[in-house]
Amino acid sequence: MIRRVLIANRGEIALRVIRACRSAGIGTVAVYSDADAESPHVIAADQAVRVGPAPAAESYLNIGALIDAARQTGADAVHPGYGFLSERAPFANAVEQAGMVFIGPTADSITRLGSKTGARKLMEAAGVPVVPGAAPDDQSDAALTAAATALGVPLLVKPAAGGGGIGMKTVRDLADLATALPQARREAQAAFGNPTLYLERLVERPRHIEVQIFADAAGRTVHLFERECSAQRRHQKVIEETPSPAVTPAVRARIGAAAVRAAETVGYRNAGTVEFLLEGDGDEAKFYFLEINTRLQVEHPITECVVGVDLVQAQLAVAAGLPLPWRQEDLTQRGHAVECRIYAEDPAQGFLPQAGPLLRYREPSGPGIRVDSGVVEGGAVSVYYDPMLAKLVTWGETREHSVARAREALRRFEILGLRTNIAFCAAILAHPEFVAGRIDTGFLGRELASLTAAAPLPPAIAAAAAVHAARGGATVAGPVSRVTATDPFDTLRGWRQSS
Amino acid sequence: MSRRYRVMHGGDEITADLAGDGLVEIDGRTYRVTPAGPGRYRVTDPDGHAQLVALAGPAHATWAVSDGRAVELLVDGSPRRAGASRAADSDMTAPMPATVVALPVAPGDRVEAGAPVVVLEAMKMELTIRASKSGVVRAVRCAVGEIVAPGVPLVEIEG
Repeated sequence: MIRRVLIANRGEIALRVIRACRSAGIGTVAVYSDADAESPHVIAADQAVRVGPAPAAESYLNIGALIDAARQTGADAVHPGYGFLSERAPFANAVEQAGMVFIGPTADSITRLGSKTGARKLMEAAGVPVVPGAAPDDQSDAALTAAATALGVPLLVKPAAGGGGIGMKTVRDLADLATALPQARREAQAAFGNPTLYLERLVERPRHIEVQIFADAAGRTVHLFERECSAQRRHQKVIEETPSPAVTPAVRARIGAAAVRAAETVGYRNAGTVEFLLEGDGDEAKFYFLEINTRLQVEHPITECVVGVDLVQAQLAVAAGLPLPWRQEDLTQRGHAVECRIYAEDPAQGFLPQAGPLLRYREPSGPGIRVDSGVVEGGAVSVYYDPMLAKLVTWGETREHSVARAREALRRFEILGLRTNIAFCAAILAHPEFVAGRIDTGFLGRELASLTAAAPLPPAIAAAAAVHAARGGATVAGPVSRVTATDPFDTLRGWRQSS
Repeated sequence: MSRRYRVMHGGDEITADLAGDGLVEIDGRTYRVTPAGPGRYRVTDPDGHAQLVALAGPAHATWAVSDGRAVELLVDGSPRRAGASRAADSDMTAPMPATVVALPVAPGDRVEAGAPVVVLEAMKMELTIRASKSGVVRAVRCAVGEIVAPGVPLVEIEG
């Protein structure tokens, strides 16, 4: 049994875990940096422990301080959330060596799946499809051309030792290899000191499809269907949905089975996500393994809405040694859910992260609307951490219904004091290609100009309200700043000193 | 009797005349404003379209949002009668916490009423404070780069 969980995270995910613990009758310990002493997750937990100054490297990434905090408060388990230390094997190891339960996969799984090339080899051996590629031992032009012919075009010629797209060539006609190979070899030698080349099929206009998996300590493994995450900007997801409009029942069965096989190959435990690229449409669509995220995912709520489960609750149960709460045949999808990530950023200035006071913060509510957030009106957004303020999740019986609910909920989301991407999210949801479900990972990049050029609020409308409010020079409604106490002992319920 | 406000929005300036009964005239068009709960106003445009606008912030530096679209506004100075000269600003103070970005005058300078004396920046917008009367600048009580508090006199003019 788990009796007290330390949540090694902050913001909305810390609150999400605290809520799950409370409904399971499990005690909670929050940790905080100096920048977060009065944050909602600190106030919500039974106890809270300072782990360091504002910079994450000295607080939320400080393994020693986190383990000390867990020991001091008598926690018997640690939930890492996502980001920070959630996918660091040394942290999982440290938790276990301290005699506590790490709510997640084993350190060994994290290590083996943490290497992209290592994971690819494991999956290839297990028969999970990977993007077809070849790195022939014979690196002569003739051997590479033969390998390229076998792979087919379009393909990428990449430095085997490289990364970050340096020295990468796209080949759409095998005849072009004659010039591309020597050039790529020279660039690989220059950039990485190694001329070895790797050939890979180019997946054009791919979709990013991921599958939620879950396994218990006995190795029983299920999948909870897919999430479509193609609406991303520079690998940063903005809007996710499930089911994917591109995944047919036949493909869903195949990709789900492949995800389960991927998890079983490494003896995976607890919640994880298998990421794939999806190419093509219909029952003939092909998918290729990308990587396994060894943690709870930001976008897990859309799966919860459509499958009708509580993934964090299940994480706690499985970590405590209980069997999986579901069999595969119990799991079904009902309706459609979409998530908009609300960021404090300015789309008009290259999505520059914004910091500042939350002068007004009012979340929408109503049937089919769920908001997971880590901020409150009167609080502030600091420069130190991820600028995500909230996740707006809407559910509907159909995709049209859930997207319509999302658009209406965005219109009623009132955030004042800093700039957000709310209008940008609304523009994506209204875009004809998104509405038609025809998006790929390049969609946001291609459409950025139109998506950031949404019609602004007519200034006269705002000015009319503002001068009416300003008559007499009074402060406009809304707290200018929250009443703050510098000593948390003054205000916080359930606080216990732990040092 | 109406009162005139200057509202800055991005680089634009809007002149708004607030009459009684929540009627606001902007560019010859009349908007009706009625309170709609804490921090929220219902604004009806001359065509009869109504929308809810939420406001927050100090009275002079206001954030507004409606239908998921937010704007930032500076509402300049204390209300004054419509038609009054801008030089009639009674005090030369910052209407909101702001950064001094330019000081066009120095002690000893002769200025005419209405001439720019301090340029402030707040919420990424510039706001010009003008001479309240003609005379000689006796003192400049701020410096470029300084963050000034609302209500504190920035310049003194002896006329």
